[in-house]
Amino acid sequence: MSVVELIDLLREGRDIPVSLAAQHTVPPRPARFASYPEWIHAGLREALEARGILELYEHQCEAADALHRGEHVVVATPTASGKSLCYHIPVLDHLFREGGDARALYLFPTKALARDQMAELESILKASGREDLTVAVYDGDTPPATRRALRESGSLVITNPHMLHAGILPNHTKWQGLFTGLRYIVIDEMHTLSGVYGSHVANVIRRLKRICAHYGSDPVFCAASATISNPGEHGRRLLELPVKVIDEDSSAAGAKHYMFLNPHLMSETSGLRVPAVEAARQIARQLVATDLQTIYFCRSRNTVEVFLKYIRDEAKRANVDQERVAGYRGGYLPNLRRKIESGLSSGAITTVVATSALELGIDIGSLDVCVLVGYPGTVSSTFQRAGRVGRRNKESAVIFLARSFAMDQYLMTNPGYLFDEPREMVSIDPQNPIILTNHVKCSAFELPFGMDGEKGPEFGQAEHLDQVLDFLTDDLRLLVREGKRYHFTGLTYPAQGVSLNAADMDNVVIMDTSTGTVLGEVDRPSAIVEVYEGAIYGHQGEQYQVEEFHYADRRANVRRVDVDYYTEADTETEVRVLHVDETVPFATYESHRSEVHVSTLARAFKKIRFYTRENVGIGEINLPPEEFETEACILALEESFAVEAGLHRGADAGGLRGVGELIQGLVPLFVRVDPADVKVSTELCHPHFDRPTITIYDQIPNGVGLSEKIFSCHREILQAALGLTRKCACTTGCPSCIGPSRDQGRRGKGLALAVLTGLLR
Amino acid sequence: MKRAFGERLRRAFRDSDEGASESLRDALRRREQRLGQSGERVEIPAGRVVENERGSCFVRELRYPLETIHGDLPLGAACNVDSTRLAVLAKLPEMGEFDLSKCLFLDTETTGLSGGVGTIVFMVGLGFFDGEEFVLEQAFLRSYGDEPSALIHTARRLKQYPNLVTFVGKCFDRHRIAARMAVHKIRSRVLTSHHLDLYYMAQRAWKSELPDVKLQTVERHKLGVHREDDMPGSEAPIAFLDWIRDGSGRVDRVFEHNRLDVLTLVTLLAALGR
Repeated sequence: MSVVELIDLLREGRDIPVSLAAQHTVPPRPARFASYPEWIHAGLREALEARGILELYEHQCEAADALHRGEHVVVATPTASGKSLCYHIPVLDHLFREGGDARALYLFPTKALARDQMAELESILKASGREDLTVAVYDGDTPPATRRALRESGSLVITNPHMLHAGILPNHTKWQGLFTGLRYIVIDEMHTLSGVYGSHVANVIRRLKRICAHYGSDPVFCAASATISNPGEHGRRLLELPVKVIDEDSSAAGAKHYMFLNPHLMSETSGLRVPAVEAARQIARQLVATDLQTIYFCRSRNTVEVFLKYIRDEAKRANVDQERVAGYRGGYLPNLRRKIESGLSSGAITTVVATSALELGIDIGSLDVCVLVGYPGTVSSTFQRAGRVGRRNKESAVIFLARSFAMDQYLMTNPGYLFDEPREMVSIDPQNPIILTNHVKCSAFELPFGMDGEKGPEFGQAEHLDQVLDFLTDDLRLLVREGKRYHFTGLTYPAQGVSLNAADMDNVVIMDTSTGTVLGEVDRPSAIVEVYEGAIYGHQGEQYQVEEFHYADRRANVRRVDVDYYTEADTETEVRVLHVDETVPFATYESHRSEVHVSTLARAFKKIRFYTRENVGIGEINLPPEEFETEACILALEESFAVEAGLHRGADAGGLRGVGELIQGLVPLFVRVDPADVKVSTELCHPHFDRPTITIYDQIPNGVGLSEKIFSCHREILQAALGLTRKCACTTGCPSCIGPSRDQGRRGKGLALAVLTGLLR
Repeated sequence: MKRAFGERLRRAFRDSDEGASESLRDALRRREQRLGQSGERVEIPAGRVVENERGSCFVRELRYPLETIHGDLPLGAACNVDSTRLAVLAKLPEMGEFDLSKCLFLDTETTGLSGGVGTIVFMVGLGFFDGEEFVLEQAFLRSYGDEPSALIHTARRLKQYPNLVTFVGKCFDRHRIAARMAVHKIRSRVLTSHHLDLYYMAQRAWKSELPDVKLQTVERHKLGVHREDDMPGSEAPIAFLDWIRDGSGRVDRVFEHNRLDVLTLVTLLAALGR
């Protein structure tokens, strides 16, 4: 089957319970080529030409030229546009020319990407006979025995922000060769450095620059990003340097067809539709035996495994070799991932079911068909996934299957939202006082502040640095001031106590007891909903049952089973007030800056039969809750106002929930965070305040001051929420304002307007 | 604004790890106060100020006649060792060239055991033979400003006496010194000089007969050294950090602890080479 035939099939809706809601075709585009820059080292050029790269795209040439001139560059072009060559060329050219003492540092967000790039770079070095130059990956998987050689002689070191923060910078004297000879620093997948994580990384870069200055190097930065709406602003904020932005993709592309498919209604009255997974299965039935290489993106790890089982069943029916089908998600071990990646590149695997883990730039070649089983959540993410398909001269298809959920349904009727609206902004706040203080502490350990050559203490463009240093000196007694200098005087290794990413490092290992091998791993916060005793753990589409979960040892023992169901955990989140730090009264409510305790408990799980989704049993979960303390801004409504707005006890809380959702959606516009860093919960009668509340809290242990910012600017957010709801053309609520009326009730929009107007009184 | 910023940080770091180690320090300080040491700055032993191209630092110098007894052995016993036996224990076939009169017995006191660049070497004990005497120098940081000069002093001694003798120095002391030298851009052979790490040698010689191979276990069982009221090495970092902040830490006791450690290196070498 060809892509064109597939499109016809889907348009007719033959055998597949979907209707075409919209179609959008991006016409083919010829490549715009440029010849190699004159300065490129002949050996490098030959090696690249031998790989079939006879010309460069214009954007590659422009980026390479600017970097070579010493300009800092941000490249923001789509997946598969040849971003890595933009920086490989100037970097390798420099290493080829300067030889032994020249160094470059690459930062990638994941170990998988690092290995992928290493293989690519090594093959270029080999082809050019420059085996004197070495590429080295330095991460948690690097064997201790090879670390030393790598520190001393690696010409091009590939690592990740965590290792740089906790391993390399605090031991910079062991890396003198790297920091002394450092000419280029490449930061790939810059769009993933957003929110709190990105704010941490921006401060790690400040530390990195101090160390470079100490060893006398002044490297050129190149940051590469997926297409976002503010690459230049984000790059400047992250690097604190002027940057040249290159965002015009000059690579070739075949026509790409976006098909918006809405599964049929199962019943008019309930509004429920055929599940997207079921519709996807019927598409898979048509595709599994063809040569069209297809990637299915699912929203969760659990869905990947369930859907993978369905595809394996289809493959069996069609007599297709099971080796041609694979799953790909976080939690698989590195070897398995490498195998799947190369299977996709070589064409040995024709069907893959993946989570966002395949969204990042790992090289798997270009596929033919991408099926989005549900809206990925953001516009950027949608196009990252869509970028997985489309060969230079061949047509490709992106099939978007809607779920019954509001946002998905909204997009079926408003596809322009994806194509016409600007993409999401990526925001960070490197001035966040808590994040900044933590990194100033780490940086003081690495080098005293106010060393010779510094005018006084300097830390990038950090604001209030004097106050941070005074606080660390006088309050925490971690620094000692001598003249202009601040020396670290703590007992501990401070980077160990500072986590860039709250979820890192504390993983649960999943052991297959029948073979005694490690099957995979899962991060601890997710473990309570994935590997509780009795859970079905899917792995490559096969079912394993969790027999024991040793919570304290972070180990789950599983055994292969043959069952016809999977499991899903139900969770409850409770936000308890610990302490109110500050209260400001307004006409109709009080705003409280508080500390809260957030606890998420998995109490029970359901057994759900494959295909029919019947509930075939339930079970208890006996695990401690995932808990953390954090900061919150709580709006507590006055009782008389609550009654007036229709929020009396026992009332329909849809309007209040709608306001909560609006705030959640608008917060990133006001406090520069990732949408996932802040959560909003609403209660009709909060036990602590005994009245309706809207609680906005930092979804990060101990908080990082996000809700404190919201505490001071929450009225602007309310104002924006009111404006947006008023302007929205819908009558009873929709995903672009308070959420759909199906969720918030038919009166939801009216109630939300009343609440917002009253709050702003 | 300034006040609000500080308040904000105080709230956020109220329960941090630093808070915990702070209370440990407070507890130790209270203990010292009970011992009647409150109020006054703890005096460091007598010594001289050494001037060099990177400023000045403080060095306490002690000179011992070779017949001075430490435990069961005189210090001079180290000059009459069987270097063949040492070579076997050290797994260094080229030990013949290892000139014991060129030995630098070295033991550091640092602000932590966790490693990393920011772990400061606040005291370096350096011992060497000078004619009929054994000389023990203790370079100490009266302030962080003394550090470059103290490191230069150490580098000088290492040039004069290039055979290092330490206990666990191969994986600890020399790296701490090298890291601080790199911070201050001081070149030295500390990582490349000949190095006898007595820990590994003691392990080969006595592992089966001793409960463990810690320095104090070895000296008690094999050298007849019995320390009384010695400050545990693990308390040295806190003593220094308290002293540099407000003069309250018992660095006088760290000097004594370090002195005993260096003397033990000498007789331990003698015992291993017997």
